[in-house]
Amino acid sequence: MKRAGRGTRKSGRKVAFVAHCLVNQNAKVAEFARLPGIVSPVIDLLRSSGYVIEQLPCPELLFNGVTRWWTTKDIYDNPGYRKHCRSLAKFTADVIERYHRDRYEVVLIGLDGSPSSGVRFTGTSDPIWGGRPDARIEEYKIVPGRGVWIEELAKELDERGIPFPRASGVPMDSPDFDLGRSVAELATFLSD
Amino acid sequence: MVIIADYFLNPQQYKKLPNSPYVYEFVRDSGYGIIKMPPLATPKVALTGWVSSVADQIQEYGNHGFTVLLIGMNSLPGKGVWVSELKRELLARGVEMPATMNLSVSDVASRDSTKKILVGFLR
Repeated sequence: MKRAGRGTRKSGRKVAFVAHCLVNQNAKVAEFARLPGIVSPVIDLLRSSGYVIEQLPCPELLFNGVTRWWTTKDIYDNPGYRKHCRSLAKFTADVIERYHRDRYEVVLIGLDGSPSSGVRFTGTSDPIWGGRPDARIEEYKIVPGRGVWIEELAKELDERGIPFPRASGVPMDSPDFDLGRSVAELATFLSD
Repeated sequence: MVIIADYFLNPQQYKKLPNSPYVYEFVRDSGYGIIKMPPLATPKVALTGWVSSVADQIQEYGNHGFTVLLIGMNSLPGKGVWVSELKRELLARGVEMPATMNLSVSDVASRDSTKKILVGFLR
């Protein structure tokens, strides 16, 4: 994979590709939605910072629907799900490519802790999840790494010679998530 | 949730239309989630996938009792939501179009005009 692009481009125009559920909490897996609709502190920060907002697809909703139950990267890490993610990555990369060509600064804001949309952190089956479905949310173990969807999107961009955007994530799938702290962290990321 | 034209989330990208934040703000404050349609400049090769994925969501949410609405913009091609392509895709599946509200420039001119047109729609 090519090195992540710093992203600052000459045009002064900026676009943020955001995890689907940051704009639509209805897409979250059962019991993981933290707000009714939009994660407005995050989206409002991006808008007020001058970013065009592009919403990434939610591969989990499109694959397993709204009644899906909790899962982990280990479970989603299979050829069928990766093929599904890659098909979404193709039309998503078409849009990223257009902004890249038009010299926008492109950033990607994922959903840290998610088995699919994690950028810095994803979720593992070790030691509880992935066994019998009797785990508690507090037992969900977050580890450094990207989710399956973000990995497949990175591969698609790499094959096109497009640098992976400078990226961060909002850790809404982390059991100790704190919205205020996360928005402050995002503001720092955007100003770097 | 509500499916919206790109214009309503990114009005600054549409130089011939008002740079109006009011639809986004009203949807946000009403507690609705958003499924944003891609921008008008989306490459044609990508459009089939986007429209198909939006139709998947309309079908899936509809099957499970979620309210799904659609807000388009009258002065944009395809109302800014590729309405013909979306209708065709849903018709092929036997799925109804979401309840739809198409707005005009005067509807997005002020917070009050936006509220007046949307308050009964986003119940």
